[in-house]
Amino acid sequence: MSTRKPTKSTTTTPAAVAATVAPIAKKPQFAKNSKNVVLEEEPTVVVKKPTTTTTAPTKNILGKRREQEVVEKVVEEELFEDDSSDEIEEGDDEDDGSIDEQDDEDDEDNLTTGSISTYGEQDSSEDDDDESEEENIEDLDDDDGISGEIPSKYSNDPNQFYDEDNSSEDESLVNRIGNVPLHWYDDYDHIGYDVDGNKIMKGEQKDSLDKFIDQSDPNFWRTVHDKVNGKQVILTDEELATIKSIQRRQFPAGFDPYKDWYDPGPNPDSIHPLSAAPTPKRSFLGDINDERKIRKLTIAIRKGWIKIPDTSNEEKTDQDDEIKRTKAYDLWAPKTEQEVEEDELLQRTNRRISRIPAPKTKLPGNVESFNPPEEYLLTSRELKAWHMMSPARRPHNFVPQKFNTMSDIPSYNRSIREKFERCLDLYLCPRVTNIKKKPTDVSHLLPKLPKPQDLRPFPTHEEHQFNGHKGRVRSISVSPNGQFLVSCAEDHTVKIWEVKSTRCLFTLQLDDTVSCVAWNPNKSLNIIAVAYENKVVMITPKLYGPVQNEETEAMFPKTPIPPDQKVRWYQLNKDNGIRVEVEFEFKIKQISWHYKGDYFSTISPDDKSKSVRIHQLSKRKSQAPFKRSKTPYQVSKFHPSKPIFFIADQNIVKVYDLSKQQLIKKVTIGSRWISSLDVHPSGDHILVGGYDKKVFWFDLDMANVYKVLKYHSKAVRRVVYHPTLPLFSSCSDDLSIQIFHGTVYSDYLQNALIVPLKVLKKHTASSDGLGVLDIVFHPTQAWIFSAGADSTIRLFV
Amino acid sequence: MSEDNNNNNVQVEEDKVRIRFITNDENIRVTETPFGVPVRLGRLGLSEVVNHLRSSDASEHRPFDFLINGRFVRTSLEKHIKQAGLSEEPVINEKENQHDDWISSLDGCLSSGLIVTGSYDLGTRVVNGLDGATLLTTVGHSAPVKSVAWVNSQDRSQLEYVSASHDMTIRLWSCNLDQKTYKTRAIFQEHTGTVESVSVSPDGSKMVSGAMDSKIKLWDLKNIKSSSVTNPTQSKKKRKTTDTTTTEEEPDYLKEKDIQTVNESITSLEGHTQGVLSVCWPTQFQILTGGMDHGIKLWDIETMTCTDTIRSGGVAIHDVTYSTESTLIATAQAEKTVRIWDPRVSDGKYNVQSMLSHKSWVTSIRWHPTSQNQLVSSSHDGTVKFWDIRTKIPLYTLDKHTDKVLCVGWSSNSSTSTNPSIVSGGADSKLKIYK
Repeated sequence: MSTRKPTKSTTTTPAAVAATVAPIAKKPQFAKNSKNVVLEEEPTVVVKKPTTTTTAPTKNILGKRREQEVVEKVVEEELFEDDSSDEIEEGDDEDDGSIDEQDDEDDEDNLTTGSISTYGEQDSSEDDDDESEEENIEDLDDDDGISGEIPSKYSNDPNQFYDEDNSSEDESLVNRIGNVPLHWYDDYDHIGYDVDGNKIMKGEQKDSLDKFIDQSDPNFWRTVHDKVNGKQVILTDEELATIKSIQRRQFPAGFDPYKDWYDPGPNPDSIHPLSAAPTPKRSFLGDINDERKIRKLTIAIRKGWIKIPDTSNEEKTDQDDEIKRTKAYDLWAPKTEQEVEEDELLQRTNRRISRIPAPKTKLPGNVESFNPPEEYLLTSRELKAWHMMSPARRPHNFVPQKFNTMSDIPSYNRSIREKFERCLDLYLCPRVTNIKKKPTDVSHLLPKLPKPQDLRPFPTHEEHQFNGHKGRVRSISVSPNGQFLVSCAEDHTVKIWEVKSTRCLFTLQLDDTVSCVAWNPNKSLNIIAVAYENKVVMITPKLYGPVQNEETEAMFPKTPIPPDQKVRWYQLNKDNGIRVEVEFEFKIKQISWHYKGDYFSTISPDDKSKSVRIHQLSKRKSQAPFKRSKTPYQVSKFHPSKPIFFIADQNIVKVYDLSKQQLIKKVTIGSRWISSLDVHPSGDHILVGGYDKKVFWFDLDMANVYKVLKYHSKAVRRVVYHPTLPLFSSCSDDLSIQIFHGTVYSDYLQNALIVPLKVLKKHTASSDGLGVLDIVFHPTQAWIFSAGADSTIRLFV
Repeated sequence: MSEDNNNNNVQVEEDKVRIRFITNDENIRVTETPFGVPVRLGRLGLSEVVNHLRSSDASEHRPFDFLINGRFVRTSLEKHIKQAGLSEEPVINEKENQHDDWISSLDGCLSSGLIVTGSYDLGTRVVNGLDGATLLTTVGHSAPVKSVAWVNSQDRSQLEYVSASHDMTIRLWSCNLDQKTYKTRAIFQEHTGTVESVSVSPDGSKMVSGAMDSKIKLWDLKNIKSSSVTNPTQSKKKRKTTDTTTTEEEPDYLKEKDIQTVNESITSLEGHTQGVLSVCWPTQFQILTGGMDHGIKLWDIETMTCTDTIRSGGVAIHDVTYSTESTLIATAQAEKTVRIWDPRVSDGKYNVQSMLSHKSWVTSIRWHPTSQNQLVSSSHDGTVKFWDIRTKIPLYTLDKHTDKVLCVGWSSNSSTSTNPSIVSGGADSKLKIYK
């Protein structure tokens, strides 16, 4: 607004206008100059018009008007020295020439601009003058062009050398009644007196019709009725800004709170408090002495002579609670060591912020050419379409043009804009980084496994204990009909229990450590194989009376033993039921029966070359058809229904076809030391447990391990499948038995479903760290037997 | 008009008190069978109970007065018992009989008061139910005896009972108590698995046996046909003795004379897929069996077919018993609950009631001989519990065994009393009789 020039006058100095908006008291020197300038430049002549009582302000923007009026006012003063009007506007002529700012105000007052209140010092508005004056000037303004009198360069006004002060302190118009209730003047025709004692008459009252007409005025919304002075004040923009800032409790408009403040110092020279000397450099730099001290302190701190006390606590107690809580992060502090390390780490790793390269600008092609081929030019239809389209959708944001000569080419008016957009791309392009989604809802990732309640029956709690052994129970086996259980322990005994009543029916005392027992899986045979030390004995327990049945007896024929075998067979018929004894050279670790009950396999890991042997009971033959392996063989198992044999050493499981006498498959399980193996009743899956705490489910049709189950915290001792139900289990040295559900689908498309069901942790810890040594499922019921190093056998139901 | 009733406290069990209403006035007499009422009941509550027992018609309800041991009930039963200092301990006379080994089964006879027991010491005993004294001990089986059943217990000189054993045979014994002699009259040998349970028909002419070979065999007791061919295993054994050095002797039973070995049963009922653990012959033409394949089967003798199968929800059945008066079946299973089944229910939901109180497997269960609501069960947790099926909590618990209780039954209390006494035998080798 301050730069706008009035239409009538050529120029008004910015200084003059600045004076109108100056927040601080004008400086006399400027005032003088401005005044002079104003006077010099003033060409126009203002003719006063007879006043009317309308108070409607002009339609022009106030600022403009004000300047005009400032000018005009000055002119007025000059030209019309006689106060023919009623208004006491020219009061300042009669002044004594006091360099009163207020006089100046009188001179320059705009009639339409006024202050809201009488105090508005910083407001650039001025008090309203008499309405008649305003109207005169208004009318003149409306005419938009006043020429006439030529103002003389100097006036008699003593205040001519002073800046126009458009402050609200216009003495002639300010109602000088004081802080007096206005209703005292209700009965009078005047509302007060101005500074000279002249009455300020009341304006004509507006009736409702006038008020209604006033509403059409564009400035109606910012017109305020000044009751004290009886004026309609149109608020200028600055006034409005001031009002807003006051309402917002901000600094008033035009106030510069950040103005440089020159501190003169604690002891300013009273005679010369201000000086124009430039601020010395030392006021910006720090005190040298302070710096010396700081240097010394830093050296001392670095060397550790001074310890910085932790003042954080003290500070906290002093400050507010809120400040206490929010520990501000000093963004500008040098990076701490930790942060530096983190930065380096980020740089080295992939976690650094990915630098997205700036999008490449398109190289100019034929379209951008000043003389493109005809086909690139847009037809009228295309041009219309181009205009219709949104700028984003256009193929190119310009219209291809064709010029014949270089000099015809105009400047490209979008170049700056394009450069700006390029800059935006460079520094404001939204970088799409791969932000890892916070794991808010990962439940959809988990496989939808059925609940254990739906997969009953499975063993859930301990029902019975078979107590009687006095040493670690190494191995258990259950009879094929599930009625009896045989167990062997390190007290050199083999015990046979009745499952239903937990009664120990038989105890067989041997003279050496028994390592394994296995009940013949053939239901009609009543034979138990017991491995102790370097012998395997076949027992026919007298569970059903003293006489064994035919089939059992058939297993022990009286035919002569084939001679010349490394493994020596002895035929016995002892009272305790031992019928056959097979003597080996080395210790036997594990026995496994063929499902038909005639063949069985033994493993003696100490025997380097022939550790795995297959024997036939009825013929009392033994053979060792398997090659040596890199690591000692651990466990062997016959297939439950097919002539397939599995043997495992520490890392590899070999699958042999016995009828063809070939190796079918060699499976590398990912275990470092296989401890046990079991074959699924269907024969297509094997379960391998290792001393490295893992249980592997291997599908023989697949190349890799199907599932690795890492549920144990210590070495896995045994894994077993249930013969009839879809369950399998693993036991380990961490005293827990894990029961899983494992259904195998008959269609070859679906993988097996494995659901962990239950953890049974009932065995007590033993001093040697061994836990549950053997588990076996009941053949028909969902029961599991477990043998532990705490010399108990437990039945879980 | 208030009437007086006499109460008898027997035992407190879980905030319930077992009471019995006795009165001299015929008009207000109610059933004298004991049942449980909460201890917090007072005179009004007991009145209500009596009124309900009498009739459900509200108009006929009258207030009653109650006497306990000659004292009027004026407060709640709990307070009354405390004040009166009535003993809450079971007023139970207990007789004990020490066996040599675990008692696997027993059968009591109400009329004669004799109890026959089978034990893991390969023998059976006849015990006097009144005083617990062993009258007779028999040996003969070569493997533990799993089940015994009376055939004829009336005549003291001609007692007959059968015993089934792990050696796959059933023996019919005949004893003379006066002379203290016994002998095996017949050996029934057809099973190929251990015989777990045997039951005699009500008229004593036939018996049924169930074994782990999942077969149920019917045998004729009256006309025992002996097979002319001797035991095939027996003959084999003879051959063997010549060949190899064996320390085995010929079993004693073969040496005895006029033992008839029966190798043929009347019929073999097949239906169970796993071992049959329990058979029961309640009425003349109905047999009830329970097996490890989780099923209860009802068989009709005339047609020799299975009329009904109740699937018991995945748990092996240890024992079944049938109440002729209430036509309900009670089962003891490889779980802690005692279940009551109604075979007549048509919608398939047979399970009428399941009562959970035992802490381990329930091994044996028997209905009360005369009452239709009461039964007794034994469990691996060493307790014998007396139930009334109208309430889910046992009326009382007998916790006298120190080890698992394997069998339970009824015997007569005394020649005059109608209340039978409970007999139980267990793994602590003790036979206990409770009156």
